[in-house]
Amino acid sequence: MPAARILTIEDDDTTAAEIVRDLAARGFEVERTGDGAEGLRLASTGRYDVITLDRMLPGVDGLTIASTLKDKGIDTPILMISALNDVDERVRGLRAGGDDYLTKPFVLDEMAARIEVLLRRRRADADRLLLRYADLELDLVAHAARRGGRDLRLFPKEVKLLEMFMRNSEQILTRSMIFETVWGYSFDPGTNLIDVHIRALRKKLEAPGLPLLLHTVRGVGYRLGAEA
Amino acid sequence: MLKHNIWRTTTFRLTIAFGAVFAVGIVLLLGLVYLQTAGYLTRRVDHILVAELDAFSRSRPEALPQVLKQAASRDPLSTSGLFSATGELVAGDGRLTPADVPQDGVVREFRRSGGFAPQRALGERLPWGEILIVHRDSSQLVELRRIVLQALVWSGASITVLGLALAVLLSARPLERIRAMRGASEAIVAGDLAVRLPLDGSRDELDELARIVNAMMDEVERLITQARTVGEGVAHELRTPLTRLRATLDHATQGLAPGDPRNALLEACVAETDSVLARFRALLRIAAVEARSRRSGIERVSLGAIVEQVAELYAPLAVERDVALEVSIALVPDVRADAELMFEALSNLVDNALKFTPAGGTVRLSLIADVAGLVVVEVRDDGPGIPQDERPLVTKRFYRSRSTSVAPGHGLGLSLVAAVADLHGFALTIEDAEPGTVVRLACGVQV
Repeated sequence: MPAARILTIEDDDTTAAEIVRDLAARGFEVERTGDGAEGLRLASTGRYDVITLDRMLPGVDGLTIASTLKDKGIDTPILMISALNDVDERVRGLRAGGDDYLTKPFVLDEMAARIEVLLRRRRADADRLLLRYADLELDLVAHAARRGGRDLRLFPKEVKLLEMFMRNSEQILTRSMIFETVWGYSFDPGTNLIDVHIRALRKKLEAPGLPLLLHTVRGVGYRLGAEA
Repeated sequence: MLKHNIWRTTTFRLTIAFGAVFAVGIVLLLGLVYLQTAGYLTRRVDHILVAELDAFSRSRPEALPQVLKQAASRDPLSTSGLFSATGELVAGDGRLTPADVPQDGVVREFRRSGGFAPQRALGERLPWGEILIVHRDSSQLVELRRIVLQALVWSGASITVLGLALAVLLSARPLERIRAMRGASEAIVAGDLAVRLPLDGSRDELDELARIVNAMMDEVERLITQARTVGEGVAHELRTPLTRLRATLDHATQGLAPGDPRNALLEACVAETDSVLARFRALLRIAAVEARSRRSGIERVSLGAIVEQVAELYAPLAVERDVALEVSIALVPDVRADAELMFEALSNLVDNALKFTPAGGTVRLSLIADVAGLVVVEVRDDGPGIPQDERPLVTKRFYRSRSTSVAPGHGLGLSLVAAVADLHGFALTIEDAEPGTVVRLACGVQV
């Protein structure tokens, strides 16, 4: 599979350099522009797999770029990046056509994890209602989960949590991504609240003798997948 | 309140004082007019009496009865009586006798009941021995006195009534303004530094005072805002370098072999950095809520659903902490609120309660409708409780109760709840639940 191509539209040179360096190190092909109009022109070609888009840009601002692209039918996933940490801003960004929203300053792992998920989302069939990973099975119609033929009794939120992991198997999911997706809120839920939920899910998921499925990625988040 | 305080206003006292001076003036004026007029009228009567007596005494003795008769028919107010040396009536009016009126040339006043008008009288023994008494009706004097007295009573009563009415009327406005100012001051004391004392533009002394106080408040607000924004600015500025520091630390960890003891050290550094970043995020979040940039998010929400979500979010944590999380949700009307902020605030309350409740304890999260028709969210724990003197402090930034200082946390949770409550105009109260603490968020129903 060829390396995914990422367009970074970011006017702040320091932040841009960091993003480009990090993404390149992770094996992505990155192009960067600091100008809104140029960014819109490049993004309109549809050549990219993901766009990171700064909310505040000289010339054409991020919201306009996002909504213009969606109007043009360009469905490249957009990760909006903004210094504005206000829920209204977040909602506005997502409404304008952003697929995810990240507040500055951010941990690069967080950005990378979000980009990976956006890339995956593009490829994956999001409509599937029967998810499988290894010996794990999740039926979203019957809300039933099984591992190796054993029924797992999950609470509704645990079903949503497991669904997120299974739709993004082998991907790192950060705590804030999990909180945003499963609970639909974007504030800081306290350091260990998500961990507690993961532990509870893990207790139901894992069984002695079976390979570990839900892994902790130290300092970043969690991953459902094979042993690293 | 108005009635109680109105007696104390300067305007009221001044008006009453002016009223009293005016009343004394009226009394003096009327009294003077009365005395002068009465004196004049008396002198006139006395003059007439003396002149009549003089005229009569110069008549011939045998013609006198006839003269008296004529005089009486000429002027019915003046009457005279002629008496013999021994006091028997010879001619004229006999109602006043020589026994009543001494014959010494002095005019006196006589009053008698029974249709006899008050009289001024003068008596004289004529050269030939007979006694002549002249008197004249002086009821006009009595009438005058009555008129003056009546005028005094009426003017006194109307001055009192009008003065009081005027005083109340004049004092009501300053009192009303004082009341408005008191309201404004209470709001300021309660923490709303943007409130100013109302001005009415009259530029009177009250207005001037309010202007001075307002200028003072501008300065206080500027200083406090400055102090606060310095904190926020520091948090804002430090976030980026701290995030970079965290990335670098993380990077360093990745270069180490799994068994390296430096792993633990670096991880502790990352965790510590994360907790500083979390504090900054919380601080900036509170600032954002306090800046009221989120009014737009307020809509009809079902608190029941939110409480349920919060309970669901914290249930596993409660299980891990071995604390029972009991939830009761009453059927209540919707409220107007920002769902996301309410969720965040209630999360903070439950988080706090779980944090400060020892293992084996109970946290109760309830949604109730109180007697006043308010929808109340109540979080009750049976932990160590918050001492009375610390309760107003716990909503302040970074304040952590003495008794709970061993629990993890940054002391910003209740500040955020307070900011959210403030934004909505909801009342946040913290009380002793004996044992433990009960925190109530009373939400107005305005659908």
